[in-house]
Amino acid sequence: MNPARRFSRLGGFLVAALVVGAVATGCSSSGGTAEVAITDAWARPSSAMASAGAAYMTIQNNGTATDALVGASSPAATTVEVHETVVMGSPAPGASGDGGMMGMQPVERLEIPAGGSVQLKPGSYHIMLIGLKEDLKAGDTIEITLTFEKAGELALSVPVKEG
Amino acid sequence: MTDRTSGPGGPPTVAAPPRPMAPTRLALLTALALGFAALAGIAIGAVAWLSMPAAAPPSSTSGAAIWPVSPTPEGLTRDTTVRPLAPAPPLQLTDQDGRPFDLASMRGRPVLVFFGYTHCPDVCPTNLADVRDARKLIDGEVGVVFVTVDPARDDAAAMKQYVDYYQAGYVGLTGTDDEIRAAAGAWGVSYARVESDSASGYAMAHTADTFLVDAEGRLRHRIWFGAGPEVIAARVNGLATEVFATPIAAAPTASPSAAPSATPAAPTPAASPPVPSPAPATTVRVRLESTVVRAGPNRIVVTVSDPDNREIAAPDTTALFTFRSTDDPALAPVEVQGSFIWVVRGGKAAYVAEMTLPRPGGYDATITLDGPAGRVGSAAFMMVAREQSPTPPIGAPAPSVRTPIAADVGGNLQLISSDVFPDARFYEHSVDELLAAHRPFVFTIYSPAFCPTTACGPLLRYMKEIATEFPAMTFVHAEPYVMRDLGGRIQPEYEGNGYAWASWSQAYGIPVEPYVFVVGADGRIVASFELIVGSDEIRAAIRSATGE
Repeated sequence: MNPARRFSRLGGFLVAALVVGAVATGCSSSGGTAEVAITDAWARPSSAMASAGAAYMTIQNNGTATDALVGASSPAATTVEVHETVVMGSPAPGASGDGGMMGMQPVERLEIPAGGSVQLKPGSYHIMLIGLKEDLKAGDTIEITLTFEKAGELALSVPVKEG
Repeated sequence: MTDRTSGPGGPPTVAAPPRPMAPTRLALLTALALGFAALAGIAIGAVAWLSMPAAAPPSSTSGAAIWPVSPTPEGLTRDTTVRPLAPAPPLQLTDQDGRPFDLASMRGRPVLVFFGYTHCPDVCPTNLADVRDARKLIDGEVGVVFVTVDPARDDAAAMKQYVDYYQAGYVGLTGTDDEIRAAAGAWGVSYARVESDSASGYAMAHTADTFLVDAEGRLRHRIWFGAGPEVIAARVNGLATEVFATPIAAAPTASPSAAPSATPAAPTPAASPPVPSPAPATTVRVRLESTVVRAGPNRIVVTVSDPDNREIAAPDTTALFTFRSTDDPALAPVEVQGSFIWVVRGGKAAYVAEMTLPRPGGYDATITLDGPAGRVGSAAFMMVAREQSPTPPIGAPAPSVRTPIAADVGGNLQLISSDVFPDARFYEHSVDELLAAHRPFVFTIYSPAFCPTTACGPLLRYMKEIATEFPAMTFVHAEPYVMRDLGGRIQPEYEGNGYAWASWSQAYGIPVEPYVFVVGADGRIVASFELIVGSDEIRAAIRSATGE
């Protein structure tokens, strides 16, 4: 069973928190606290026909224990996964650009170090919205629920806007 | 061509497109524990395909992003020029309305071309947004063409919905598998179907560079993914004033030494000389490849194309260079016989001029080529000599730097070299050791896998041959960039919009790669070669360094 699949099984979402400064706290069994804050969340306008959209944000861990993003869900899409855009392959020697291929891979567990942050941004980590139920239009807001290993679930209202 | 497919039980694969011109190298990622698998086929010409060891996925433990996306002004200086100047590869596919489309129909305005697919959530929308924002910064009209690498899902109807969504007059192209493969191959675009257990189904990995074709239909720039709208707009806006060659009449008597103005003339098509000349002018196009030109001793490299933009590679052709100071026209022009070098034997070639420039400042230069059958042609170009160069000049002490050696990585050369077949001789000694031991050496700073310019030939392969010929000489190779280990597979770190230069690259001040420094037993630079270097030039420098 692919762990990434589990992202879609979370179902439902909590009451939406404010996007800027959304915070979830939790205690780990191994000691230390995880306190996760989300800032600068946004989703790119996307055609439902394209069937996949992406949302970006900065995840800050203000706690004293490492936490990890392990799942996500949204009523706006049938499935939500965390993906990473990576370089696959080397550039052609004749290429003046990078030449390497850009590909994606699902990320099962995205660690957020204690006191650190991880940026989800174009060309890097992103929340992939698979099977969009309708177009994501600039000005819309979509709900996304993130699940952290320690901090638990965190509901976000994410504005749709042009990057 | 050779297609490689996965082993038994592996996921279905798609062959990377054939590459009629440039060899492709492609790292293969093998199936990963995550259920992610990427396998790509590969083809091609002269150079063997490259495969990297099976790699674990990059750990997702830090906030380090792989790709920059917020453009910084430094990115504006990165070289995106496509050399030699040549017509854009053919692009004849089916547009979003199901009609035949030919890129040639867009002549008269610049066109941005990139490849992707509609199910692409991150990379392609980022490119589209960058192009959209760039258009706001571009003076005049620019066409935009988006070519799918996923024709199985992207038929004309899908492309229509996709480009219509952007409401920007983009052209969306699709075709049969074979047509897409041929088009991508001609453009130097790689792609591969990536199977995964993701609910999104398969994904396409693909080259995400943006190509800029000028109004005359010539491919001028290849812009890296993530460059951002400012860089794209700067390249489009810069097309008209970019100086790459000014064809002149064959007879260098009537020197058209037009004073350099703020807006140098755009290249004049050979077919329409501004002034009818009695004798038909033979013109060639010349491109200055060197980035470091300094007052004092210099080695500059140019490549030359015929009027049809075919690179001239004729060993029996002689080249005469002249350099005339524009800041002090009273100075006698420097005249020097250039030499022919192969960059890739039997393929890419260049001409080298070694001379001493009397002062910094601007120079009007000419190159005149003569072959066995007479005058081949002549061309003019301009260049600026700096007062000082960022790299140590000939005779200066070589900076003492610690470079990675095999012992640092337990003999696993893959961790310090992106060469597919790293040569153990190149990683035995660090530069600082050799300087301390007063041993002459050849120091090559070059990334075989990540070198971003057309000057990157099979340099290390030649260097291995040379190392065998000169057993008394020590050879050192170092990657130019800070490399990070992705579980046995190394990749350059990013800084701003470019690769992060390693400490030794910074110590030697190199603005581009490859660079080769030949250092004598006295620790001083005997010769340095930028970008393009001929094997015989290195041999001669080694003889000079060792007193042979």
